[in-house]
Amino acid sequence: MVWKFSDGRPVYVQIMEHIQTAVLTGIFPPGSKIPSVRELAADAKVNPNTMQHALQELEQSMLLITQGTLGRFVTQDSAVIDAARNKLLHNLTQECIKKYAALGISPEQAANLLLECGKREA
Amino acid sequence: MDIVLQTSNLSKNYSGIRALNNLNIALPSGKIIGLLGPNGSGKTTLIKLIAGLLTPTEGSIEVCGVPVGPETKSMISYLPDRVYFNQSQTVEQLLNYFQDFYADFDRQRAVSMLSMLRIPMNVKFKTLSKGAREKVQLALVMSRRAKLYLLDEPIAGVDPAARDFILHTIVTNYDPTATVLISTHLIADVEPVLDEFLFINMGQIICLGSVDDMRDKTGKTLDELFREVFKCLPSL
Amino acid sequence: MFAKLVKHEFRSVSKPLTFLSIAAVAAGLIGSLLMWYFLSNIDIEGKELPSILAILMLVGIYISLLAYSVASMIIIYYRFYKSKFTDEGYLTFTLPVSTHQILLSSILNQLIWSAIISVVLFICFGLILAPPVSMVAKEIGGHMDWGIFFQELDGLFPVGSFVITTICGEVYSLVLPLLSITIGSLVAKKHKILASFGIGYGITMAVSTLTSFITIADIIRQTFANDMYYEPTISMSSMLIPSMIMLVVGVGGYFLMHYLIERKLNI
Repeated sequence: MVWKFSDGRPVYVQIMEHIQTAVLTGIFPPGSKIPSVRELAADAKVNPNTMQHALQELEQSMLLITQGTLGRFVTQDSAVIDAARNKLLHNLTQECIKKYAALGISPEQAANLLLECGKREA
Repeated sequence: MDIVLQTSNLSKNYSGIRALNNLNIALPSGKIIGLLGPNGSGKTTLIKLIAGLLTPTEGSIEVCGVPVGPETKSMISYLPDRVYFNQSQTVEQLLNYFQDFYADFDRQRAVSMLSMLRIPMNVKFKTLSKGAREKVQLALVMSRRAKLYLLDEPIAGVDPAARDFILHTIVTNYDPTATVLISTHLIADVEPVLDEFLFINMGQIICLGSVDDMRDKTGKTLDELFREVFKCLPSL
Repeated sequence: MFAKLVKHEFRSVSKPLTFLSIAAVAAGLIGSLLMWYFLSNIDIEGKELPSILAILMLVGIYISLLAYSVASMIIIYYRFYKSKFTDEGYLTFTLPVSTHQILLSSILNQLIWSAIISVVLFICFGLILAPPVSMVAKEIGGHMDWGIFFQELDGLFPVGSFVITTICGEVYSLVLPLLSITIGSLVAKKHKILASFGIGYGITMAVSTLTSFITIADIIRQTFANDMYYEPTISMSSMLIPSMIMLVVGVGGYFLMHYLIERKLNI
């Protein structure tokens, strides 16, 4: 897994996004066990306390579930996963709209550009 | 949470220069803390004072409630910014040395770290490359189960792969009852590993706090904040 | 901890010093053979040249034994300097031991090695002098009466104060080089070793001058006490004055070293 922390948002927030993406792209499939805090922290080269904070937040949002001493698992609740996907997509879209707007492109024009580009790629 | 390090009105003069001026800090246990500042700000002086290589001009230092002396030296694992071994010894002899003097030395851990780095036991230290020597020193220092780790510029002048190894070691060595104080001017590399930070300049602490809280409040990385804070300030 | 310090100090110089000591004993053996050869051919015609060569080689052996003792002490002093006043000092002075333990372990190590070197030299000179001594012994036809030897010796000077002098001198000679190295390393920014030599020389000169002054003053005092008649005996007091000075400089020097390292160390 590639960890990149580029902006000035708190590190734990960025870690949360990385893990959410990992869940949605199948690196941590639903129901699978995720590595321990230490292992994740070492892999990401971040402070274990920070990693713990991120994982706790993800537990709060129900994406991860602690099963006693067995460890942390990704939820199998598809509603939760869908909600997470939607949120990520929403953030991505917002960012996209902002960037296009800065270049003077409206959302409708942006949509057309995306369709055209998609057809060419196919 | 215990206080692992406490300084009271700590000052140090060197031939007329006030290297540290009335420092009052308290470091809690279980944290990785960055001591960040430009060259000449007093970082190394502070670390040497805690390690017991220098004596304060004024004020006091206590490690886990004990004033600096042989007892605190047994609780502190110090990695200086230079190689400090008798280089005509073999790696194995250096392990024996550490084992002899430090009750908290975990030889197994050191041996496994060194084998991971593919460093043989029976070669003389001076025959190793510069990078290898630094890694051996780090492996030995981090193999101690100390209460306070003092790392003075652990990644300066070190290649990116070695840098990764060092940060990885610091993270995997994490112990909730111990504290790691990393002094560096390479903020961006070290930032993700830190819980808290101290900005030091001209012998005084000018800013401190939790890294994530600071990011939350200012929306900046520690690196960006550092550049801002130290932009117009003169250094020694 | 202290024993471990001494053990490591000992081992840090044992390789070169053991090698040198073995070489010295070898030199002693060669010297012994040369001496025997020389004495066997002392009156024989036609053997003048080889005999002269043998004598020259003996002189060489003698010089090399002197060099052995000097080189050994240099190795010991250099280890002291290196382990405390170079980057290695970062390790030495962060060990969980007191400064007294660090200094005393160095001094004890120096004492042990000095003893070893003395024994080696004693063996070597013994080897070299064995041929002439055994020849003389054969001629005398008996063995020495050590009892009478010591009695005569005692008549010449008091053995008790000789022992005190030796001890004081030993303390002085153990501390002085280490003190010089300490002061030189802390005071000089560059050329620390040169500074150490200078300071060592300076202290030695100062001690000699002071000793001479006091001894002369004492002689004058004795002369006046004996109504202008000076009896040159090696009295108790005239042996003890230099000893006391050496002891004071030795012990004071040790505490000065301790203070300088605790308060003024800056490596």
